Amino acid sequence: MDELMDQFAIEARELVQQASDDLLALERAPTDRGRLESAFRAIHTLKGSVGLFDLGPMHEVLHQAEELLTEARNTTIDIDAGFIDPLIAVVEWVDQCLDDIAREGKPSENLARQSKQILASLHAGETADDTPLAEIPPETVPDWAEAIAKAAGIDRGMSGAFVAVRYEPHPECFFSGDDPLATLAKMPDILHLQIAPKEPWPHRDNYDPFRCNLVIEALTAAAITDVEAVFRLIPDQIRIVGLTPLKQEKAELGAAPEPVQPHAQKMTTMRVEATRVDALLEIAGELVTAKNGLLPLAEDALVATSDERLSRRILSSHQEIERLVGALYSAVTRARMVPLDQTFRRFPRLVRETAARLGKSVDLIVEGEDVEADREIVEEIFEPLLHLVRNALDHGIEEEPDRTTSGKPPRGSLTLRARQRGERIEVELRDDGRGIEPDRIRSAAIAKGILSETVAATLSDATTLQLLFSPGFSTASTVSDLSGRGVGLDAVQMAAQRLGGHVELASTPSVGTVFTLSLPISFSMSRIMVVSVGEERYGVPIEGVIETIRLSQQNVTAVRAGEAFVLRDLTIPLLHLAELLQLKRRETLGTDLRVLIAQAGGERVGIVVDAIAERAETLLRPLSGLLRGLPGIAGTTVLGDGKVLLVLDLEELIG
Amino acid sequence: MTIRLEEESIVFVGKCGVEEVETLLTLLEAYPRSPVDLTQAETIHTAIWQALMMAKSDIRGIPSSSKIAPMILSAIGKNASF
Repeated sequence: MDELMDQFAIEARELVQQASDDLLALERAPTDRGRLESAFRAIHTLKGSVGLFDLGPMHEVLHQAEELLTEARNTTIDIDAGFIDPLIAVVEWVDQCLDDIAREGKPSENLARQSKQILASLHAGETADDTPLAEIPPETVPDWAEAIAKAAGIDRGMSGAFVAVRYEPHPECFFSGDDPLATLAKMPDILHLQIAPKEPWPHRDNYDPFRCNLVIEALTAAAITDVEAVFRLIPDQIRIVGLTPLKQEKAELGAAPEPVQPHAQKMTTMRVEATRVDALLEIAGELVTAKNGLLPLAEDALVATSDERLSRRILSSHQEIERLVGALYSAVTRARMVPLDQTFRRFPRLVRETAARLGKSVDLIVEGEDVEADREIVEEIFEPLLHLVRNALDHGIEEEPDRTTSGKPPRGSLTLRARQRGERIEVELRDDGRGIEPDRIRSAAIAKGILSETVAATLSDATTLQLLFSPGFSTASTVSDLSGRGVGLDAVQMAAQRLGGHVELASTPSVGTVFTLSLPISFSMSRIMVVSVGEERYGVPIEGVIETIRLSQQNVTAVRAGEAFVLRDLTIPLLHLAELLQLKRRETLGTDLRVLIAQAGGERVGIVVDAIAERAETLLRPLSGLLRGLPGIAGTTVLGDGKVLLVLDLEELIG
Repeated sequence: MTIRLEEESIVFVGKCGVEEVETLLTLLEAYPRSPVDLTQAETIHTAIWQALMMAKSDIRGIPSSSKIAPMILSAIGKNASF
C-alpha cells in the first residue's frame, strides 16, 4: 500500500508539472491544441490516481478542473487569464496537497478548506460558449471505442496504435466457469479500464450475484492479434477495434512538440532509483582504484620471480581491466545524465508568480532544456539559478512605465538558455533590464574599502562587474540599493564552484545583464593523495600539492605566532593540518615532519601531516545535504575499502 | 473462508472465488457500513467485484499480487461513489 502511495507521489508530481507547463504554454499560445490536450491528459490521469486513495477534496477539485478543460477541448471558449488562472491555482493547490501528503499522508485541514474557494473559481471560469468546434470527420470507429480512448486520455493524433475492447460477458458466464476480469487481465499493456453495469442495478433483494451484469471496456497498447488470442473462446461476447493513428495535421508554426507518448516511453525507459545508479557509480569508481593495484603487483612479480612473462601478463591484464573499467565508468556516468529540463521546468511557474508579486510582466524563454548533465549537477543548479532569476526579476527588469519611457517593450524578457560546450555546459540567464553601471560598482567598492581609488580607476568595466561576486559585496545593503545586484551573488559563485564550475557576468547599462554558469557535464575522476592526521584520514587533491618533503624539526623557526622553514632559499610558512582542522596536534619530538608543499593564493605553504598514505584516482563528489556548508572541504570520495573520505580544499582551509 | 468479518471489517484473504459471493452479500447485508479490506486478497472473481460494485462498498487496500486490481478499483469506483 505504501509502495503504491510512493509511486503515486512520484507520478503526481510529474503530472502536476506537466499540467503546469502546459497551462503556462497555453497562456502564451492560446490556440495550441496540443498543449490543451496534454494539460487535459495530465489532469485526467491525476484525477484517476487520486481516486485510488482517500485524499479528501483533491478528487473533486481535479474533477472540476478536468470538466473545465473538457469544455475547452469541445468548444471554443476563450483561453485567457480567466480560464488559465483558476487552473493554475488548482495546480498549485494540488502541489501543496502533495507536500502535505508526503509529510502527513493527506492534505492538511487548511488546504482542504481552500478547496471550496478553488472550486468556486473553477465554476466562475466556466464561461460557457457552446459553439462546437468544426465537425470531426466521420469515422468507422464505433463511438464506444472513441469514448474509451478519450477517457484513457489517448489523443488519436498521437502516433502508435491502440486496441479498444468491449466485453459483454454472457449473463450466465459465471456458471460456465468464466471469470471475465481475470480473462481480460491476460491482455498485455492495458492502459485503461472501464466497468459499468449492463442494466441498472436491481434492488438488493432481487440481486442475483451469479448473473453477470457488466460491460467491460478496455484500451490496450498490445497488438491486436494478442488481444484476439486472449478472447478466442468467446468471440460472441467481445468486440475488438484497432485504433490506428489519425493522420496528424501539421502542427501550428511554433507550437510545442507533442509530449512523448507515454506507452512508447514505457518501452524504452525505466525508472530506476537514483541511489542504485549512484551505487553503481561508486563501485565503478572503486574499481578504478582497485585496478591501480595491479601495476605495483607487476613490479613485485618481476622482482620476486624475475619472470618477465608473469609480469607482462599482469600488465596486459591490467590494460584490459583498465579499458573495461573505463568503459563501465563512462556507461554508468551516462546513466546518471538527465536533461536540464528537470530543473528548467520549475522556472516558468516561478517566474510567473514572482513577476506577478512584483507587479511586473515578464516572459520567460527557455532554450536548450534537452541538454544533459549529471543528475546531481542538474539538481544542484536550481538554487543558484533561482537566485539569479529572482535577482533579475526584482532588480534587473524595470517597472513597466520605466521600460516604456526607455523605449523598451512593456513586457520584460528573461531568457534561460543551456548549451553544451565540449565537456561542459553553459547555462545563461539573460534579462533585458536596466543593466549594471560599472562606475557605481567602483564607487561602492571604494566605499566598502575593497578597492583603493587608484586601483579602481585601472580596473576594466568587465573586471569591475566581477567584483559583485566577491564576498565583501554579498551582504552589502548599499549595493542592493545601488543596482540591486550583489546580494548573494557570492553564494551563487560558491555553488557553481562547488560543482566544479564558475559564474560570469556581463552587463550593458540600460540594455540588460547576462549571467553565464559554466559547469562540468559530469563529475570527473581526480587524483588525490591520502594523508592522515592522528586517527583521521583525509584526501588532498594532487594538483594542489607541489611536492612532499621530510623536514627536520630543527629546521623549523618560530616566527611571531607561527612557524616557518627555509626550502631552497625560500622562506615558507609552516601550518599543521591538525590545527587547520581543529584537531588535537600530536607532538612528535625528534622525528622528521612530513610536509606537503601546497600552493595557496600564489604563495607556497608547508602543511604538516602525520603520514602520507596512498595516492588514488577517485571520483570526487560535491558535498550535499548537511555537509554542504562545511568550509575547507572540496567533496567526498569512496575509497577501495568502502570508507568515505573527506577531500580537503587546501586553499580554502589555509585562507 | 476467504471472506470473513474481522473486527468490523470484511476481510478478503487469498483467492476469493465465485463461491464466496453469497458469503460476501450476507456480510454486506448484515454490516452495511463495514469497510471491505482487500489488502490480503490474491485474486478476486468478477462476481465478487460485481457485488462490491453493486453494494458501493467502502473498499480499503489493494490486492498486492493482482496487477489489474488497481484498475478495476478505479473503474468500479467511478460508477460507485464518485
